[in-house]
Amino acid sequence: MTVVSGRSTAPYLDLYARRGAEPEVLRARRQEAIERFEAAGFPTGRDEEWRQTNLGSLLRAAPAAASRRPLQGGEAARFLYPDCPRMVFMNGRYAPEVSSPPRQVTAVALAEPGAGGDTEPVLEHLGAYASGRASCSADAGVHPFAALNTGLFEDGAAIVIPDGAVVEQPLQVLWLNAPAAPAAESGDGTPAVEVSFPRLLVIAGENSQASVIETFAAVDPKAGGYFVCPVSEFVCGAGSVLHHTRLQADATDAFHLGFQHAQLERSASFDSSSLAFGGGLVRNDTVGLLDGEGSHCTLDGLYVIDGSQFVDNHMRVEHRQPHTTSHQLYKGVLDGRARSVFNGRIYVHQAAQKTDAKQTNRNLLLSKSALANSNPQLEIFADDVRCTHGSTIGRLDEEALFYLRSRGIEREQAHSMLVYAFARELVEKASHEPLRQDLESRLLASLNGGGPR
Amino acid sequence: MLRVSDLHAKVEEQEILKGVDLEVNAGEVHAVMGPNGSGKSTLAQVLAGREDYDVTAGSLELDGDDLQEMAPEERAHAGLFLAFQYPVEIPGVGNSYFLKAALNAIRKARGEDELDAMDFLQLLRKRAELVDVDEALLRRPVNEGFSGGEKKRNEILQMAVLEPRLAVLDETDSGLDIDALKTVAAGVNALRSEDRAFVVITHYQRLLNYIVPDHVHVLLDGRIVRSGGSELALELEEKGYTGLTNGSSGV
Ligand SMILES: Nc1ncnc2c1ncn2[C@@H]1O[C@H](COP(=O)(O)OP(=O)(O)OP(=O)(O)O)[C@@H](O)[C@H]1O
Ligand SMILES: [Mg+2]
Repeated sequence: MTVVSGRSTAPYLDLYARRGAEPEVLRARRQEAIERFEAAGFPTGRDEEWRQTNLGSLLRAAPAAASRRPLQGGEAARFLYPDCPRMVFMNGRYAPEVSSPPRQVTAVALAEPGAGGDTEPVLEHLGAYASGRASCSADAGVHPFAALNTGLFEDGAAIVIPDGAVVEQPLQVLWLNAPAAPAAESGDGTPAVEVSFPRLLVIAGENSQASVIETFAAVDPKAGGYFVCPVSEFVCGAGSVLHHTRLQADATDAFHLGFQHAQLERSASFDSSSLAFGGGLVRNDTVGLLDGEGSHCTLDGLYVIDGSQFVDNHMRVEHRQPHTTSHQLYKGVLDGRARSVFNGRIYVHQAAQKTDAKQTNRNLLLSKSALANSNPQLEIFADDVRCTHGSTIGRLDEEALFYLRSRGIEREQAHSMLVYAFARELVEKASHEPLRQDLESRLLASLNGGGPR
Repeated sequence: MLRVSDLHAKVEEQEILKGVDLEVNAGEVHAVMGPNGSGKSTLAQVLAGREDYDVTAGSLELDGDDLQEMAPEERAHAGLFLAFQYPVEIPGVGNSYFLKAALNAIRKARGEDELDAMDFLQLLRKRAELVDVDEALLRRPVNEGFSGGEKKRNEILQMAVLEPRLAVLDETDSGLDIDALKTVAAGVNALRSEDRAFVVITHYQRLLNYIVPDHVHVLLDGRIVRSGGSELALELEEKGYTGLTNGSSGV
């Protein structure tokens, strides 16, 4: 038998063929997305956008739809923030028994959109942005994983914040994974991997204010790998203020390939922090589309990785209107043989005069074999703009380490103090106290070799 | 307390210390003077245990224990403190958090109870007052953006909090105005006691008016070429180092 290279799209197309029923309006978007996916196939090392992301181990595995599994008592509890309204998903499926959706807003599970109120805006926007293309720009190529998600998601969360609403408590969306143990093998001996397609749509009405926390985690980080392929779309209406935190604490042998898209109308503000502690092969593509005059987005991130973890963040910020501002600060802490890629592109359209864009990527390497790649890129077609970018890759400051030790602080503690000091601004910016504490303790745990929990 | 014998040390393959002998007893204050580049800071850093400084011969003992066997933090636990000539800036680590971690690490190593936040704060306030350190500096990251003088005061504050038995002050007086100099001296003098000792590295006789040394040593080209009483500092102030050669050791 000739092995059709591991890059075959066939098993995924097969999942598409076997998917369940769906609303009519979705069907066309799904069809379009899956056709895009089929036409483009999986990227290879020759694809500029994917050159540094080795998908080999993922594409060698045969995908199987994630098992349906009820949540058992307490499994979700340690990932939840007590005061927050929440929607919990297990293997991509809504788990109403542990969820308590917010009242002030419309929050529905996509599998049963009718159950939660007015779904018209949901259907209008769902899949309209992250439709499988790498961005809304005409020149953008296909994003195969966004396309896959759009074609294949079974369930997800849609949150619609009414115009003018000010939602005090953050809304938490928890994406839990628990592969059926033990990891099965498909007939011909290739490894199998369970895949789920979390889908989030947040529509922030005009002048609304809200915070959304997404948490990706494994029920048991030692129970084996899985493939999570999430897409989140944020539609930020004029004057809205939306905060978003994305905590990724998947199992260290999980594949996590995600896509996020934020669309900003006039004077809207979107502030997102992405914190990655888990996953073995992780790639996150984030698009910020500043489509309204005076809009602002902050896209910050932190990755703290060890062992053979690989984390790739691809950012694309498009300034399409005048007086738009964007800030990106990504920091990485890499130990062991961990590898990271930061690829940040700021694209300033001709109309986007008075753009103010700033992008920074800083990496701290804790071991000789860790490797960080940083590729900031500016593409500017307007003449009156201020754009800065910079990246650093450094090691722990030996002088500082000696200074701390000379004061009696043990080597290990001095070490974590310095790493913590490097990363802290990204966990401390979380304003919700329980979230901040959680992030802090995750950061500390991963510094002390605890790995994701 | 401290015994340094025939100490040779290399930095980057270059021999900087070429046979230093120094003995410091409890209760004493020693001043070490010498021209730029003569090896004063190297000696101080070697005492504190800097790993990229290579001791190639000789010995270092603190209370009979071989310092070379001890990590920098263990030396601190044993009561050694170095006020750095160039205090290191540590962005992201709060000054008072750092001091608390240091004090508690030392207390823990000595089998003493760690101080809780309240007790520590009380102690810190008292010590900060003693060495005239503004409370705002306690809340800022360690030395980051501190002026030269503030950094030096911060070193003395650390000393006052950690209460070492042997403190080595490397040019803590450089860059200080006269008032700051007096406070630094007051900090040292407040700690001076029968069972503590100080090694004060300085270029200026000025400081020694406030911290009167029992012994003064001249370090020249990696060796102590002369030792004497406090009057030696005055002599150096007058004549400079040019009159001194390696041969004229007057111990
Ligand atoms: N890391 C280093 N790499 C190379 N040479 C060094 C290093 N550290 C010190 N030296 C050299 O060692 C010699 C002694 O330096 P040291 O700092 O001990 O002098 P010092 O007596 O403290 O001088 P100063 O009065 O200027 O502070 C100098 O020639 C210096 O250039
Ligand atoms: Mg010096």
